[in-house]
Parts: sequence; C-alpha cells; structure tokens
Amino acid sequence: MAADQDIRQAAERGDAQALELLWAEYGRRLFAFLEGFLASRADAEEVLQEVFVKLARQRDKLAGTRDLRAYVFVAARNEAVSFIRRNARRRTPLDPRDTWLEPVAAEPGPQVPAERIGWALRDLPAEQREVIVLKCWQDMTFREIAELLKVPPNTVASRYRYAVDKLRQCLKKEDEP
Amino acid sequence: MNAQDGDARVEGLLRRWRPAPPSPELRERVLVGARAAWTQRSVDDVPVWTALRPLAQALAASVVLLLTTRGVSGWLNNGHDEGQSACVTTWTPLGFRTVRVFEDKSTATADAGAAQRWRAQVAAELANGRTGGAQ
Repeated sequence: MAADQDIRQAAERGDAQALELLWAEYGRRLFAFLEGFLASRADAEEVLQEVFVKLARQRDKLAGTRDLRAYVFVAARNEAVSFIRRNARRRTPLDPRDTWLEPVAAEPGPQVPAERIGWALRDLPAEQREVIVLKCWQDMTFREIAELLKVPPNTVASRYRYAVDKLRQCLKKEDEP
Repeated sequence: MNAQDGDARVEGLLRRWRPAPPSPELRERVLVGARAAWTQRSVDDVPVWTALRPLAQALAASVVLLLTTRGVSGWLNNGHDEGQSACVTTWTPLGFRTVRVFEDKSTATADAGAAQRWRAQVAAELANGRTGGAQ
C-alpha cells in the first residue's frame, strides 16, 4: 500500500512525520479495534497512547516491517492484553457514561442498547472478542484475521462460532420478542 | 430460527453500532507523546542499560557499548520476536572486543522472566569477560 510505503520511508529517514502518517492511516482503525477489544473508550484512549509511544521507540521496526498493518494491530493487541492483565483487579463494571459505540444511521431494524452490547462483548474471552471486533468492525476475513493473529483460519472460525453463540444467548432477551 | 440466521442476526445487531472515532484532542495527545518518544530515544530508553550501567561504570578501563542487531528495546518490550539477538561490545585500549551475549532462538519468549534472564546473562557474561563472535 502506498500509505504504508510512505510511513516506512519516513521512518527510515528518521522523520517524525512518519507518526502523522501512521495516525492518518491507522489511528482511527486502531482506536476502533481497542474500543471493541476493551469495551471502553477511556481504556482505549490510554492504551492507544502507549501503542504509539512504543511504535515511535521502535522506529527501526516501523521502517523494516513488511506487513505494517499486521505489525501495528499486533502491537495494539499486545498492549491491550497487557493492560487487561495489569488492571485485572481494578477493572470495574462498565461505566454507562463510557459511550464507545455510536449508532449507524443507515441501519434500520431492532436495536440493542449500546451498553448491553458492551456488556455482552466484555463477557467474551479475549480471543473470541478480538475475532468478533476484527470481523464485524474492521471488516477482515477469517483468513486475514488468522494471518494477523498467527493462528489457523479454522481456529479463527471456531472462535467466531463460540463468540456468536454466546452473544446470541446474551442479547436474546433484548432482541427477540 | 436456524444457526445461520442466528449468526446473521447477531452480526446485524452489532453492525447497527460502530466504535466511536477518536477525538481531535486524543489525536493531539497521542502524537505529542509519540513525538517525544521519537526524538528522545536514547540508550537510556533501553531497559537493560539501566541494569548494566553500574557494571559498566565499574569497568574503569573500558567503555561498554550496547549494540543491537534488530533492536533490543523491541525485544524486551514485546518479547515475541523470533531470532532476535543482541551483543555487548567492550572497548579497550587494544581495540574493540565483541562479546556475544544472547541469541534468541525460541518461538515463544513472551514469558515475563525472559527479559530478566536475558539481563542476568548479559551481566554474567560481561563480568566473566567471555568473548564470542559478533552478530
């Protein structure tokens, strides 16, 4: 991709412009991934800052990596996993004011409240939650997710299957008549 | 309702929402922090240097330089990459002498003790003055 190439070249020159380019290309997508993965806007903000600091510190890797998208998503995922571990005790029930989801206007049909979605996602194991987030909100295929997570596509499909089953149970009461 | 319909229904429910975009303030905060990390990057950012500094100071006749082949900082921070290696080079009045201290061949070095063990190995090899091939 042209944008990735520009980022790599700027990083190779030692030009901090690479960070602006990185934000332009991946900032929004990484933030959306982190919001879904952590089911919290506040936590996603904290983790995204850490991710960019680490990417900046490891700029040699930024310049040298072949698959930049995979590299930055894995960096974000690893940071999010560390964050969850570090804050396992501190993690409290979702704050209803922490509104990390916004409605998609063009989608009619039954609605489930955003906080209910947040609860349901947060109840999933992390490896299932990330598959749901990458598939539904990053529009990645199972194969792309498998490459990103370095697991077989069948494993991704299984995680998705389990996740959807759990979500269906969890959201049933709200959704079905 | 069969399983496929159920899947589509769940996906449909999720897709009626999307994660909210980052605010301009967040963009600014993130970039300020990242720029600082970019420009202030130095050997002190490499965690192992902190551990090595007292030892280096004790080696009065030598200047210890930490060299990396593909980034010690990255290896220590992430601990996932395969095949990364690092070496410590000791400079003496007689010239450079490269001490090979670590070459990671494992595929899963994410365990928390890996960095600690690596630092201990660096320190031990420096103390023993063991020499080896350059990376």
